[in-house]
Amino acid sequence: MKISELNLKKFLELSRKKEISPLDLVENYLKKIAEDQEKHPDRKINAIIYHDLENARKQFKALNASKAESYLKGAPIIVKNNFNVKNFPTECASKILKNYVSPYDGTVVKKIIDNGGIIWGYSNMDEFAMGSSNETSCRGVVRNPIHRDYIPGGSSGGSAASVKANHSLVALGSDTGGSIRQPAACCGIVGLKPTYGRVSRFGLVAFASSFDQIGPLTKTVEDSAILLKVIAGYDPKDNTSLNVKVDDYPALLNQSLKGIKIALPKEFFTSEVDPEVLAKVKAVANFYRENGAVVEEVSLPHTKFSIATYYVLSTAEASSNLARFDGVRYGFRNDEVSHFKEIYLKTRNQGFGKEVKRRMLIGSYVLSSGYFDAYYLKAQKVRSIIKREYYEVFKNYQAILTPTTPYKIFKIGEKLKDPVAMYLSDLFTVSANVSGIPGLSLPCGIDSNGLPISFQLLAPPFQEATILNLAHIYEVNNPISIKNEMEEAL
Amino acid sequence: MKEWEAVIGLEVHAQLNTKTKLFCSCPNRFGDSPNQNTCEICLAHPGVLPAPNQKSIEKAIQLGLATKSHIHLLSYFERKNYFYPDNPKAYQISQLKKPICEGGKITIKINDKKNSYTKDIHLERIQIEEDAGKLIHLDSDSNNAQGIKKSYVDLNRAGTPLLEIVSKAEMNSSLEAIEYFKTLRNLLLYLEINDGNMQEGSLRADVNLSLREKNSRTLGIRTETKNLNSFKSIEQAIEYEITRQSQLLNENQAVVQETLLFDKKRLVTKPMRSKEEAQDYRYFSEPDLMPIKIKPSLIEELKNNLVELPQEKFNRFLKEYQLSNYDTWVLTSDKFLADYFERAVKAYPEGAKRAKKICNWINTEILSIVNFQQITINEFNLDSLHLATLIKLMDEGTISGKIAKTIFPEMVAKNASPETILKEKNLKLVSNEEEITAIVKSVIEDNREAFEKYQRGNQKIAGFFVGQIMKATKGQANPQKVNEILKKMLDS
Repeated sequence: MKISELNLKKFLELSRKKEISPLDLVENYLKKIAEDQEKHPDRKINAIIYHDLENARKQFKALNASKAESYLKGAPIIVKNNFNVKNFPTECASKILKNYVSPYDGTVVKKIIDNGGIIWGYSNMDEFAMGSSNETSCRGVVRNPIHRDYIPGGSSGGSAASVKANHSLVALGSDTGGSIRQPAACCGIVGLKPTYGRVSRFGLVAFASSFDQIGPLTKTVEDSAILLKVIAGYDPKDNTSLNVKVDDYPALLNQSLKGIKIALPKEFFTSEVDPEVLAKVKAVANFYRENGAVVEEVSLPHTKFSIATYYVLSTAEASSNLARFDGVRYGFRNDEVSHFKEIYLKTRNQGFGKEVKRRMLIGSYVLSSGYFDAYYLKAQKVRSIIKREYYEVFKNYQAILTPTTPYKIFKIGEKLKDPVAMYLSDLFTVSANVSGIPGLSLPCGIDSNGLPISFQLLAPPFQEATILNLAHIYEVNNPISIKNEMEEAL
Repeated sequence: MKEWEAVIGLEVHAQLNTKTKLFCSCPNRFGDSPNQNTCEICLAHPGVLPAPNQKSIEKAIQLGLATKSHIHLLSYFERKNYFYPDNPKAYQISQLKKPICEGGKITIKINDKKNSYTKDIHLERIQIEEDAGKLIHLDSDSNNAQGIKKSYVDLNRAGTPLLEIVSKAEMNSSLEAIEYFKTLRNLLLYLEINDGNMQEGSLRADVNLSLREKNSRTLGIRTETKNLNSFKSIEQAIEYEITRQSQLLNENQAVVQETLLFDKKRLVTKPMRSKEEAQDYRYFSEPDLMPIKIKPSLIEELKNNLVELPQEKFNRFLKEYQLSNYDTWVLTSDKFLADYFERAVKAYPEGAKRAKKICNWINTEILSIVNFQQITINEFNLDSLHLATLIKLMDEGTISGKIAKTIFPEMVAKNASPETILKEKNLKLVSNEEEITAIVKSVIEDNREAFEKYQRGNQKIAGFFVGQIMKATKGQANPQKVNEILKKMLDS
């Protein structure tokens, strides 16, 4: 089997029959990464920024020593650089966490290891998960494996690109405003953001605490279902995680579409959306119709305020969450100072990149006295209105269908100087974070530039099984092949 | 000159004596080596989240119940943002808009030579928050030749639970403020939610104070003096501020609204920061924590299991032990003193009947030592059982009150029973009639003049003879017997 045809499901079958060695597979990935670097020294994919083969060996040995059959059977898994993995450099692609080594495993990492997965490295990302193009990383840009001139999406750009480039089997990312779904869409793979509170955030470096959620980036919907089953669940270490039963997601695929009602919110299908994107996503709606679902137009009038709401609240939380990076206890520090206050100023000034500073400034501003009511408080109110609107729609519909992104995928450097244009990349994804509901992105076509077009499915809280089923049925019946640039070149 | 009246409010920070910190499982313990009690959560490593300690919430509810506060079934944690090396997250998890308790009151009793009255001091709020760490500043003289000033950070205290108890500005003198603070401290001790140890910083107060013209209702501009951690410094800071502010006002100068620190050496307050440079803490609701939801059943349960509170103990002592109001108040206004008293009473089968005597010994002999040594009754060396035995021996006539007082300091020093000390000193009470008669006889013979005065009708002089006899027996003669025999011989 070609490495490009391998996915998590197939790996589990092969591993059960002992026909594949996780360590050989990791070495294969490392070889491919090295080859890519050699061939394209200035334009490498740059998706994987850290790997630890020794640690993978140790984990595999421990796995073999235990007699019990594990769920993940040694599957090698990549996590984003903002996941705490014990003894790994959890740097969030930021200079300020340079050489910071995590002293502990986060809950999701622990669950993966406990279920027989092997964490073998870190993927690249936008600095502190702030960005939609993976251009803000202190470890350099990530390139889209489908076409290197294009962005891989962000902020989990490294996770998405690594899966697409066959530099990893599956990856985990984090989604605060679209950071799993948008890069999955850019790289033509599957990305799932679970319900807020479904997956523990303990050991995920916080960007915006009330929006962040961990989720899988995989080649197939089924792979996402398998990973979600492992990582979901209540965690006493995360006060915002919820004690709701975890479904057997892989077992709930292939349910009939009969009687399912899907909503198309008209605000996501306006003339501002790229026509190629519109056409493809409308075709998806037709597919569901033809297969027994009821698909109807609805309105979510306040979702247009999602971006503004999101950028007020997420930056406010970020300004506070990132304040701990002060050089006092760990990470980068500039201590050529005459007074301790200067440690803060110099360390933070030199340690953080431009985009992160911009957001912390916005966040501090909206929280400051005199502006708090007009921005933060108002945004909180709008947030509850947006949430209520979604809940209203979900009284009559089991899912909502939208494009994942309003525009076609853009080139590296194209929007770097225009932060507002960049922020609009998340136009269709943020409202799921604003309202806490789950969302999934799946490719449904190729645009005129040869890059993927994806659609998004949203569901009521904790109904991940519904959208996984819907996506799986579409995926099985509409196979599309989005070739990697290097595969063609090979 | 105008007459000024002080208007005082107190913000008390009380450390909760939970086993673990407020948001992680590190021990909440004083005195360990620096940074021993820390983990990735209280060191604010990337990726960590707070998990609230349920016991802290219960303890806050207990204080709410004891002060008859309104307990909110739903309250919120908020973040107070500021940079400082003792504040690892760069924000403190606290409460602002909706604290766990609001309203409530603490009744104080003023009992000194001039005044005797009670007064209700109302509470603004009781909120839960986490404490900061400590900075230790070493100046150039300590162990470093280069003359570089160094500061060290100890985060053992970072993240330990605090209650902030905010009173309304309803006190008018340092006397009232101290009494409020003492009453609150006592309440915390009764509830066993704080160890009352002010030297270790378990209990500290911020004092806000303004002056207004006597009989006026218009409030003046107030100052806030931070971090006072002894009764003495609260009193001194208040007295200093009253003097300073009244001087300013008398000279028609304005009081500046500012935050002050009290200099314990020079006994003055100094500005820490003024309002113009006041920090903007950018409070917002803590997104890592769900609202604190309290079930009415929990409040009910805590209410039913609430310990005996000072007022209840006061009433019971009055009834059970027939003590005076004043004595009962002295005993019950210190939980440990009340406990000490009751242990002594219970250790002696006749204790309840002799409660007055036990109480007298505590309120005079013991409190004078405790006050002189500036210790708490818990630090007082003598076991209450030994006090009970001492009273018993006096009751049985085995020793006199004089001997009791003589041996008491040694009992205290050695935490020894009275029998042990009596044996060591070879002391005992002489009740033998012949022995006493002989002594009385010789004393009368040595004082013929006094004897004649007595016979001429000066009955009062009998006391002189008692004194002389006790002196001759070094206080070891049974006083009852002495009286009997002396009267017989004088009248014969």
